[in-house]
Amino acid sequence: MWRLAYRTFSAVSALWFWTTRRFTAAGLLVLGTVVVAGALGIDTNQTLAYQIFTLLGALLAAAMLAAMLLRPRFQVERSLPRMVTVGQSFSYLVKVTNLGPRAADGLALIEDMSDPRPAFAEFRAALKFPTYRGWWRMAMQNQLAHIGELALPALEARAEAEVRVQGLAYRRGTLRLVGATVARADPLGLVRALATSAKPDKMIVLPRRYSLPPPSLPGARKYQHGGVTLAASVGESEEFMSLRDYRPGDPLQRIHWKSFARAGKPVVKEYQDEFFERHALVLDTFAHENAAREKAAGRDSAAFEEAVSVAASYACTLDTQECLLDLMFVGAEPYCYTAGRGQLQAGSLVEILAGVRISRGKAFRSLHDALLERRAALSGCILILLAWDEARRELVNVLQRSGLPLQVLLVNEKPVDAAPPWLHVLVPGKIQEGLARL
Amino acid sequence: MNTPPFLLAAAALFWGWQTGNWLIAAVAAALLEAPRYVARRWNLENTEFNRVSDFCTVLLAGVALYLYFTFGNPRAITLLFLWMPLVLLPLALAQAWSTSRDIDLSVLFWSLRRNPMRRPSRIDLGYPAFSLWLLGASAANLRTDGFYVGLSLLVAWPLWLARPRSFRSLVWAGTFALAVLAGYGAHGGLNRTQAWLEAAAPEWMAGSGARTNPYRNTTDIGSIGDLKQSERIVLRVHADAGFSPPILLHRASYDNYAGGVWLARNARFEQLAPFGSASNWQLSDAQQLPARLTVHDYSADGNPVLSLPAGTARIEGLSASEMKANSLGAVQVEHKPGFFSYRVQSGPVAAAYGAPLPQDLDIPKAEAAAITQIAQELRLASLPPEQALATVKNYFDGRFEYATWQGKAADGRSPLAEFLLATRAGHCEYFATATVLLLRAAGIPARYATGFSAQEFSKLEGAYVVRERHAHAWVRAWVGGKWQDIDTTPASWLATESAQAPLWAPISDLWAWLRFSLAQWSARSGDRGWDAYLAWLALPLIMWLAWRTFSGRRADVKAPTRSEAQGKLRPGEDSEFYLVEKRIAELGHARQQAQALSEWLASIRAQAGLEPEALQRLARLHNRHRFDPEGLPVTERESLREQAIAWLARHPVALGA
Repeated sequence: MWRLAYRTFSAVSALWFWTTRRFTAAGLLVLGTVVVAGALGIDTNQTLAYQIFTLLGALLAAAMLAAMLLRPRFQVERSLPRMVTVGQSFSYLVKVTNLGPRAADGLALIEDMSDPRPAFAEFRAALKFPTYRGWWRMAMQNQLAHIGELALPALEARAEAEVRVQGLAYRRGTLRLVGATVARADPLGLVRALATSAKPDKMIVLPRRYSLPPPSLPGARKYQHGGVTLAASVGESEEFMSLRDYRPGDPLQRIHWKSFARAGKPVVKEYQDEFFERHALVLDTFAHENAAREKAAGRDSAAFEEAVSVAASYACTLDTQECLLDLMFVGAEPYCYTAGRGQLQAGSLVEILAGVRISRGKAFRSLHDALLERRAALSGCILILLAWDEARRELVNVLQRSGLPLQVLLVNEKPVDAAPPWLHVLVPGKIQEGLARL
Repeated sequence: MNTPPFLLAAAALFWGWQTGNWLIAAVAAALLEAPRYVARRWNLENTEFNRVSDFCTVLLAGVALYLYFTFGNPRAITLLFLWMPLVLLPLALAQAWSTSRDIDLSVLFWSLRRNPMRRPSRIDLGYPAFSLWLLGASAANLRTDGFYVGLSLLVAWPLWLARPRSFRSLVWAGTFALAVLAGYGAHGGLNRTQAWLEAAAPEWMAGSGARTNPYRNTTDIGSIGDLKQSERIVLRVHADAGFSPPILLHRASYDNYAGGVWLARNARFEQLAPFGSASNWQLSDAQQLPARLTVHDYSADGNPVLSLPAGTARIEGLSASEMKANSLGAVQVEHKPGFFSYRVQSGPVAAAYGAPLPQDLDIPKAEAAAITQIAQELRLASLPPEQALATVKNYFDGRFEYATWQGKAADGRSPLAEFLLATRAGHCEYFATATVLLLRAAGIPARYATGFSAQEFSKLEGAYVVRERHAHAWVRAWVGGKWQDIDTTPASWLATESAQAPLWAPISDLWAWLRFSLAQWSARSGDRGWDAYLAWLALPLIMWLAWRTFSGRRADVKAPTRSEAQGKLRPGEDSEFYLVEKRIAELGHARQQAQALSEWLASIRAQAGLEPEALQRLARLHNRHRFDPEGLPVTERESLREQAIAWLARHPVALGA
């Protein structure tokens, strides 16, 4: 039954896709009327609807024939942005050239995106019962962005036009454009002839970012063993940068006494130094069991999406001029990307986060081990968790016992019973409010 | 509305022409087109549109139920489509009179209100309303060529206006004309195909057993397999004590048999005149009419053939515009589809039907061998008519049995011969046909009669219910100077068919009775003129809805009229440079949003034929006209105008023509 349902749904959505590309808006209305008139006029003695059926049917047939005879030839060149952001609209310029020997109008530009239909295994795993509604929802989820069809101006022979295409990004990831189609309406304006040029291209859809209050990362400076190879200088330079609160480990001679007297707490002078702080931004990719069951394999839960957004927000906000930031998560294996001090840019971390998926078939322990391996080099750690279970509590306990300053964020729908005061629970959909309370 | 001016009005008037409701159509047309000339608009939001849409949905459901109970399907569906443009008119009017150019799709679909789409989708109701008016007009079934001509013109109108201009007008006209001709040919073909199919297929397939063709009866003789019959109730009969079950209700008789088809040859229908009131009809002038019977009938497609007991002399209480009868006893009335009832008075059969004709003795060649063989066995030729009749009855009584299943006939043998000589089992059509032919072989004029056998008394309804499977065939034989009904089908036929009734039959019977009772009530209220009150009841409801929708907290929005708008022109807004900019956009180099004029001119500098220097000059003048507090001197203003017009003349949008 599943296989049959999958094939049927696949065929129906393919038919729908074909219909919406092949017919103009007028053509779709005519097609709909033909279907209704066909049903109403099934008994030709009862109504005259069969005459509507035959007239509109003949018009569609003539339009299809005419569209088959048209051989539109167009060239499409896009100027795509490299990155766009989830939930935000984007636009880009497209240059369309009419390569044909005659003028053409009734034109539309359709961007062909990769097929969003789910694979059978994904379909089978995600649904309890095969329904078209479920299928449709999965296909919609696979669609990273919507790029609307755009009406093109009339084009003389060999003429070109530059138009701005508008789109809206729905989900993070790599948005692949497999081709661009220029559709030209037939003389009746009902059916379109398509000229598809294979113009594969891609954009990276970055996760949504939230604004964070100025992060005050606790933690001591650490000597970076082996150094950061691309650091601009070695050791501690004497270039004065700013004043900041005292942190354990700061040498006494750095204390700015005047400010100490004024503020009533130790304030130190900060120099450009190579004994910099190194923070870990740890993203939990192990979806809670329930979330994994509810969503299909490979589908990210809403909480996970929000966790990625929170991580991206940190990656963008933390000033990597001053410190190193290690983005750590577990995909097929534990990954660690370092930004700052001549390493990666913060933007690159966000780009990496655009591709993060829920980790399956791995235990939380792998993240635990990877983090402890780096413990010695770290001055602080931001943990973004998806659940508050035994394994996670243990990791936090170990890190706390080792004296590593922590900021622990939990992205979860449900409130946590007896949550410790340092655990910040962020509710999906109300993340910004949660972050503002930090 | 996004339709061209007057298109919707024309469609509404077309509907008015087809349905005869000119006044309603004219009012609807005026209301739909008036917003083009009236500046007043209402700022409606989704909530208001939802309210109007819900009202239309409820109204549609109410009308659908009313039509279903009054007329039954398929007539109810046809009528629903006929009235649908009016039922949904409030929604179309709400959009037309609002400031919105279109409405959210969730207004039409409840599911979208609960689970909104990721990207809201909007729809303009103009063209869907146009389609509905056309479909509604088609449901009126005014069978003249005017419909197709009007339809073609109405469809051509918007298509012509929206045609791609890069094709010659002649190409458009040729393609359209070709499609119109093809459509004309195809619809004629479709109609003929249906007529041919109906003639070729057995009655039950062509339109259920409840429909009778008085000229032709295609039997199931020769069909292989099981005979499927429906439990549907087609008649309800209240009979007085003068009748005892089974009551044979005759619909039509036929006199010519060939290859499984009975035909009524030379049986012309003669019109009958009502007597007394317009609802009473006389079939014969018999004076003694002891037996009375009331029939409640239903006709799906109008002009039904009545179900009458033998010897019917008078029909009362049937308001039909015309009644006609043929010499074979079939009575057909001109009546609209739906439920209808009539009272029947019957007396002696006497000379109610025409005297026998030579064809009442014909035996088809294909059946002659088997019939002659049996007739010889029974020595029918030598017997007097009464005795021959009794012999034939006896012959079928003992040796034959009732069966709904038939196998394949042996090679070279007709299905009827197979029935007579081999299987000796069949359904009523076999018995009646064989009896007619055997009686004819005995020299007795005989005809094949069809109709229903009423014998199932329903306590629930207090009447005989006649189902489709009670459809029956028997023989009318001329014996003793009058026509007699003779039924040779074994009496077990009804029990055999009753055994096939499904388990849920009582539930469907109850439902049928409820429908029938409602239809009766509706007919009675229609007689008393309550229908009009119902329509008047809907009017205050619509007015209340209009008041709820259009009044209240919302301030009316008055679109500025052209003269007002002209009074508030910003300086320089009349610059001809805007026309130049529009023309360049038409040529494919539209200025992007937020692109400065100078940037844009620089970007199209390289485009051949646009005369960048001339454009620069124009832009300079335009900018001064637009932004210089002093404005342009008259001469320069004139120069801007002339240069712009000259540029436009040098750069037409003539495409490919």
